[in-house]
Amino acid sequence: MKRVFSQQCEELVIKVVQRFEHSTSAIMSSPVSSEQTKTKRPSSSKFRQQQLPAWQPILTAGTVLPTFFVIGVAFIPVGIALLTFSGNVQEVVKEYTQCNSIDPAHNNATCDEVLSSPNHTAATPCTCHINFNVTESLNGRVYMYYGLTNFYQNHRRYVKSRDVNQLMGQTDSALSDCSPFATADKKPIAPCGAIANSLFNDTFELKMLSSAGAELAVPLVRTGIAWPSDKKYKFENPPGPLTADGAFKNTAKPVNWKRAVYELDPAHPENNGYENEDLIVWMRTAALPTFRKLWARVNESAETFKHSLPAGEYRIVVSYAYPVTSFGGTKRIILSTTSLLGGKNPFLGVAYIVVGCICLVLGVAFLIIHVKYGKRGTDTITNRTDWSGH
Amino acid sequence: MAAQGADGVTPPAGAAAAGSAVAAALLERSHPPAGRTVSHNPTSPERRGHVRSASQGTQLPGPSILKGPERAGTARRGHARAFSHGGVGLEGLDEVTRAGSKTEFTLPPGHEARERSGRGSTARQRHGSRPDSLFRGHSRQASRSESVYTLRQTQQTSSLFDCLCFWRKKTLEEARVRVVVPNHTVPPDTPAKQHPNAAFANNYVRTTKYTVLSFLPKNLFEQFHRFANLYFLFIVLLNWVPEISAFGREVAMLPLVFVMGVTAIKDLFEDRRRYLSDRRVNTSTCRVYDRDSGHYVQRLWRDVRVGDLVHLSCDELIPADLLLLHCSDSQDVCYIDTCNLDGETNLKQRRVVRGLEGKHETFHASKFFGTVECNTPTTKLYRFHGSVIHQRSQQRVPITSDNLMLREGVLKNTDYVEGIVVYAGHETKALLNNGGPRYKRSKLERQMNMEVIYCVIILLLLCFTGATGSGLWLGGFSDTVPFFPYSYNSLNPPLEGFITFWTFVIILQVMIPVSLYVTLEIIKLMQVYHIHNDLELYDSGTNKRTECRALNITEELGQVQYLFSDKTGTLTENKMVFRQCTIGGIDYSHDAVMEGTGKFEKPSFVLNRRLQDELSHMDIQLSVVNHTGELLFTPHAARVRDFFLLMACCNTVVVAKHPHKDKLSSSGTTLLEDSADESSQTIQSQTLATTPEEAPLETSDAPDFVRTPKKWRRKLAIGKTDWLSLPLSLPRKTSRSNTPTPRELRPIFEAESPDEMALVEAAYKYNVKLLRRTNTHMVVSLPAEGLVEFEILNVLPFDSDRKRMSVILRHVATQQIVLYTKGADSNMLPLVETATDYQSQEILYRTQQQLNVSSRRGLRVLVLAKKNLSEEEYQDWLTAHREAESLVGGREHKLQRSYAAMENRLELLGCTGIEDRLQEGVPETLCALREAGIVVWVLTGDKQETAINIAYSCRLFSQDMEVIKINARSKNAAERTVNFYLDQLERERAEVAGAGGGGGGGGWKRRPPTPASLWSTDTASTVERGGKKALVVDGKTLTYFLDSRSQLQIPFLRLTGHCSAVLCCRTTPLQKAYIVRIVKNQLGALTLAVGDGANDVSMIQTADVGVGISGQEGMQAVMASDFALARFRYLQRLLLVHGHWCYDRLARMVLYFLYKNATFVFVIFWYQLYCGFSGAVMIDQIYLSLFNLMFTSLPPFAIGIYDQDCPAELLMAQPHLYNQGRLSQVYKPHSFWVNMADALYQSIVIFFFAAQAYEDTSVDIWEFGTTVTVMCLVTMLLHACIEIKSWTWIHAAAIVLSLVFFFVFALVYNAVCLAFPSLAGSYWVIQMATTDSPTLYLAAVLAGVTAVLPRLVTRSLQHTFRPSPVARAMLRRRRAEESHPMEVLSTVPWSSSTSLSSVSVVRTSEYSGVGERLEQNGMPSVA
Repeated sequence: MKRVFSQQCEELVIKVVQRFEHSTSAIMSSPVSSEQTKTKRPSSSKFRQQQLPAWQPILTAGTVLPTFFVIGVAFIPVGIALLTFSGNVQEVVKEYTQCNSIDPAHNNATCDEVLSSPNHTAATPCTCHINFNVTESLNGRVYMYYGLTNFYQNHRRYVKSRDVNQLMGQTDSALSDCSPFATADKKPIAPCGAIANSLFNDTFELKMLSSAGAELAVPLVRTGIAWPSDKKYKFENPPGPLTADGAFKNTAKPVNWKRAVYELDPAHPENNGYENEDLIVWMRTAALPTFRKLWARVNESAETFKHSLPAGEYRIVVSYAYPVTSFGGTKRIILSTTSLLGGKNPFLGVAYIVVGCICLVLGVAFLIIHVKYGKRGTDTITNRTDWSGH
Repeated sequence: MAAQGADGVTPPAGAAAAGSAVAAALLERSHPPAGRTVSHNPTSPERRGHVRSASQGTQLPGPSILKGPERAGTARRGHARAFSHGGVGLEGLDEVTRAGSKTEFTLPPGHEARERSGRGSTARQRHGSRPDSLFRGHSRQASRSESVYTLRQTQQTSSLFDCLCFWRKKTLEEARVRVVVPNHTVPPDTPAKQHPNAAFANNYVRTTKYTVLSFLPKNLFEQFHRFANLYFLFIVLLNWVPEISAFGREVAMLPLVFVMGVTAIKDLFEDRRRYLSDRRVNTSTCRVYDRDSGHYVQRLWRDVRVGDLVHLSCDELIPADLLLLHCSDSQDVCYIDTCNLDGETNLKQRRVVRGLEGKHETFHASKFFGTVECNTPTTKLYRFHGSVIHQRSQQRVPITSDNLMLREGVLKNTDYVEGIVVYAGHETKALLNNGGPRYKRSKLERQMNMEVIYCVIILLLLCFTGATGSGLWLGGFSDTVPFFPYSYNSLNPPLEGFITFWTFVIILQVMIPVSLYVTLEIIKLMQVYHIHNDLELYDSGTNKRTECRALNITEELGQVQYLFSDKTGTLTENKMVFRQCTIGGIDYSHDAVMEGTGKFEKPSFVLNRRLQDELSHMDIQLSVVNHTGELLFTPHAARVRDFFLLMACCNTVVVAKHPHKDKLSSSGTTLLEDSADESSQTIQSQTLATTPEEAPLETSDAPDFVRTPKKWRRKLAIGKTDWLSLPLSLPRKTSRSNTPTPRELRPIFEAESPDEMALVEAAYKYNVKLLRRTNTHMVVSLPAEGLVEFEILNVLPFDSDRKRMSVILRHVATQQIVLYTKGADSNMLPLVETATDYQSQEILYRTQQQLNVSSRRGLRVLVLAKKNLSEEEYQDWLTAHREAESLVGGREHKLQRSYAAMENRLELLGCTGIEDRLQEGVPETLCALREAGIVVWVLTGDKQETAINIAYSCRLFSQDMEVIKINARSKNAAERTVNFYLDQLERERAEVAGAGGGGGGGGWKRRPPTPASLWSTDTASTVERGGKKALVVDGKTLTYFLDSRSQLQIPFLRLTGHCSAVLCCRTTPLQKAYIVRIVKNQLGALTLAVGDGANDVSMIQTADVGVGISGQEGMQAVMASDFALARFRYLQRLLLVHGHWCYDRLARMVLYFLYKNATFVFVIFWYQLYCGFSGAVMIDQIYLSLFNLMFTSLPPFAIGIYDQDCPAELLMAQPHLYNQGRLSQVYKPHSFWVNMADALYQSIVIFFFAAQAYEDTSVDIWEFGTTVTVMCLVTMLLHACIEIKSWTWIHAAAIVLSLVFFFVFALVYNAVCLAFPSLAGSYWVIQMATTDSPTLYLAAVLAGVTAVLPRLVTRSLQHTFRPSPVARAMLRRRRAEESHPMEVLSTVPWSSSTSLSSVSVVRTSEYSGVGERLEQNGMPSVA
């Protein structure tokens, strides 16, 4: 009985398979019907007979050398262009890891030392000044980045330590990936995870110093620094007002944070919560341990800074709160214009030129080889009768 | 045996009487011959006693007797003894079977006949008896026929399902005896479960691996047997550990699911092929007796049940193992052809069960009420015994394998038979012997597996480095890592290292190219598809394509180093044509012509005018009157007459008057009963009545036209229409033309060997017609004397020692007794009476001359002789002969002496020459294969002279070769000969080497003569240097060489290494397999065996690649083969073109695949330098999983299936290009490392270019990963572009589509991935990366070009300075095309040149044909 049943099942399946095969074979090969009739003569289609029109290049010095010339000729201009682009980017980089506290109470100690001193409280950030001279005005839109080195944002454990659902506004997320930064005081941390916990929290003010010693605050725009897609879809606040009792009810702030997530940007009420752009930028983990992240851009609408950051003396007032020496890192502040390629990076341009040159040299070498040996190579073949292939 | 009926014990009418009764009966009957077995068996007295008691115990009711294991054992022992002497007591049969077994299976002394049946052996062990003594007799007998299968490794199927079903089998096994009740005797309302035959398997056959229900579990089970899949599974599980996990759990499963899914679909389609063939078999029809309708009805094979009565017609396949109950033959015998089973091509006789004999007209299926008892199914083809209990008489009649017709056999020479099914379906001997398909692993794959192991080592190295780095990185921190989430409190670098190690295993898993296996399988499937579809491998004559039965060894075709070929049917057509005869020293030659048209075309010959005249005027020559007043012929005329008479008589040809017809139609209705009988009788009487006057000899162009009287025609017309009206739905494979024409009125000859057929037919053409033949008499029509009847006194059958056969005939009219003998010249000529008179000497001399001439022409020669015997002489001999026959001990020896006593002092008549026509294109093919560097061995069962002749005619040997023959008759002689030749050749070679070295050749070094170096790289060149040698070895000598104990294997192989061609003659099928095996094992060479007959099966299965020629000798070779060709000459294209391509493609594909994976892994590894060795992956996990499976999967397919490094016609025209594959030049051991180095370089370029380009930027990890992925993709595609040698739209599409597919996929995926939280990282990344800045494109182009630059440079330099032979040939062609475009276009590929190469044609053209063609192509011909 069982056997009969399985036989029937088999036949059913075979029928289905056959139908399927028939339809597929109809696509693959038209003369199926002729096969089913008596003759088994294969179709003479070029595809089946493996006789499709083909181009069979043989890579010899002679055939390859045009390629080299073409590559060389194409790459060198591209390289030069890239180098020019990169060279046009103006950049001011100031490392401030060891900047001195301006607070007289700190006795001219570095902010780093102040931070690591035992009687330091988180509530009072250390402030320091970075003074620098911009000799040439930075033309175009000027961006302000902070840069870190030796910070492994790409570490496997670190990268994983976030909860996408929570950041998209779901309050009931399990936060399983965030451990050990998932809960504090039995309340879920918002936002949870190591990335959020390590949010960069130095703040900067850029001031232009007039010769008279007066300070002119450079207007900075702190929004629009994150990817629009991130801001729009990937990060969303939970429903409710951005208060302790509203959207973030029953949550704890990350252990390293001084302020809760809904208080990140007191100046702009809508730039708070998960949608805070600093947070979003920070959450987009860097690929390499030396990285920079956009902090602000100079507001071009201000009259003085239209289209450029004029040359002159500047000061950046740093509210120094982020410790980096514990992991051997450094902090930088960068003012930079952009080009087609982004920041200042001559690598691609140089590489293009080098590779282009190599190709040209190879092309010349191959030309010589071809002229000298190309013909002889085939002549030896003509005279050669030993075909045994050894 | 006459006492048979009398001593049948009549047991009580127990429904299922015990088999031991049978045993007892047999034992008692066979006690004298059992002596031998007993003497070997010290424990026999008590055992015997035991058996006796058992036999007495038959009074005990029921089968309970058999339950005790001991009893069962002894009972079986009884059988074994009884059967140890084959046909004990069946004198009549004995001769026939002996004569039949022409194939001599000489086992090398070291060989022991293995018992195949696993079940049998376990049973034996359980019984605790001594297996040797128990089964000795039987296994000896069985080994002869089963040896064909001995080499085949029985795969003990250990599948789960077998285990589950084990208990059931066991219970069946315990029964030990099966009782079969005819189904029509069982009351129709019996419930299915209580049906006496219900326990037996039905005739439904399933060779598929899976059923619908078992597919999923079984396939999964099988797939997880593979290392690669287990590895994958391990990784999936590893990823479930949260600490280690690198990917989302679902994503990690993706590759596994994908690979296994594809494999499962592939398996399903493969299995479907088997299913279809099963269905074809299962739905064949046969006629089964139906009780309800009272006659036979047509039924499907699968519906045949044990206990059914089956009716079979001539040439029908036997559907199940049948016990013969009734047969149309008056002698109650029928013939079956068991070629499909044991490979023996001779017909075997089967007898009707005793007690039913002679019931010709009275037998009716419904009247058969007997019960059959027999042993349970075994694999042993000739082990069958039991008894039939006739219901009425309660008589118990023993049955043996003589009564059993085996499934897959073909009924021959019998109109119809009826039998009862005793074993059906999977319990038939044919299916029990049917080993499943073997899994062959190709050389390339073996090498590849080695590289995979290297990959594992590299992987482990990377993981260890990563783990160490991770620990060190962590150790660099004092007590905590700020901001970093560690689940443990204090830093623990070793623990972190350990965890990271496993993470590395997961992220670097791609290093193990798991998808490579499934890619390989699909590629091979497609390659097979293209081979199958090759128009030039299609034979329109037989309407057959080349069939690839093995799907996974296509590339082996491109690496063949040794080719072993069968001769008959493979090189030759096995169509014998009578070409020459010498009578009394006068030579008559015949030209070959083709007769018939189209499909029925067959070679024939033109009658020799002179001989025809002599024969037709024989009555005129009947002039001399001797002293008794009788008319006598002139001496020459007498010789001519005797010569032809001998041709007609001295054979084992069976004569049938009419095509065997059955009075039963396929649907089971009786048809034609009267007319068929009547017409055949009429023909018979007419023929007998025809006197010479009535049928005068025709000397016209159609001499064999027989006038047909009107009456005949009328009869014939009836017969014809009726015949045609028969439904032809039966599996009538070998049925002859079923439209009888007047011409076919001549008797139908059915011969065991085509030689005999050729002789008889030749005689018939000369009007010496064998008309009728029974066991005792024959009727021959002679031109001068008309119908003459002879009494056949004795037949001295052919055997391979005497190499001759004789008949002793008595002329019924004159009572004259004559011995006619024909045989091999070497054995016959010494027996010819020493000539005294000049004339006889002259005749002997001339005949010998002619023999030499014929031999040189490649004809098979036979010497014909006669001897007149006086009555007394004959009677004296007969008494001695009878004595010898009845002897028990030393019978064989005595018989041989008796034969020798008769066959002496013969009178030489003449000799015949039969041509075994070469197949079309054989010499060209062999020549091309040899030129391709393949060492060709021909292994034949034929005799040395014939074999050498064929070797010359097929250009295996050329005239300038020195032929070394080794015929040793002892081990010492063999050793001496081999060492002598070896010394000589090695000295010669050393001399040549010295000369070559002095002459500045330089390249050739003398190697230490280790076996491995024999073939190593340059078999061809070493052979060429020392002058060409050819080696001929005969079967006996081979026995010494092949014996592993004789230490001669290696010297022998070394000797063959010096020879460019080897010919082994008189080999047995098993020896063929042994030769292949030692070459395979000792030399490690890749072997290909090609054959057409069942005797080649073992060789085909032993070789790495087995090729079957679907010729005349059944399908057995084809079934065992990996590739089935319609013609031998297709081998050239199969190897030189498809083999070359497949090897080249696969080799490059595998290397590319390994490179591709390694590059990807290295790139990920470099990233670890930048992420604290944490095991982070910048590439999105989906990309990572799909990169190999999807994004870069098309180029390997394009290379693996469609790339051609060289066009087909060039490969055909220049066979030496095959060296590339033969010497494994594409995939060398270092190729892997070269590719790894390239991968390393490319990964460095890719990663560090990306790292530099994004140095100190705000790039995030996923955008960086996306760029790196694109860079990898571009690099790998550019790499593929360099690897592709022949660009078609497929290749271009593969490259473009890969790129397009990636971007489309990435764009879509990046847009929707937010829906899956675990994959959200990549949201909108590619959109940003591709639009925000051009860095991605710039970096990809730069990295791609830089990465492939070294490969491009080296490749082109290589082609410029040291091009490979293939590249050189291509370049030459390119140049030729440029200078003379027309000439090249007109180049004709070889395969299209058709040469009907009969021997003479070939010999005149010799090498010149090749040379010409080469020159046409602008090639210098090979000197």
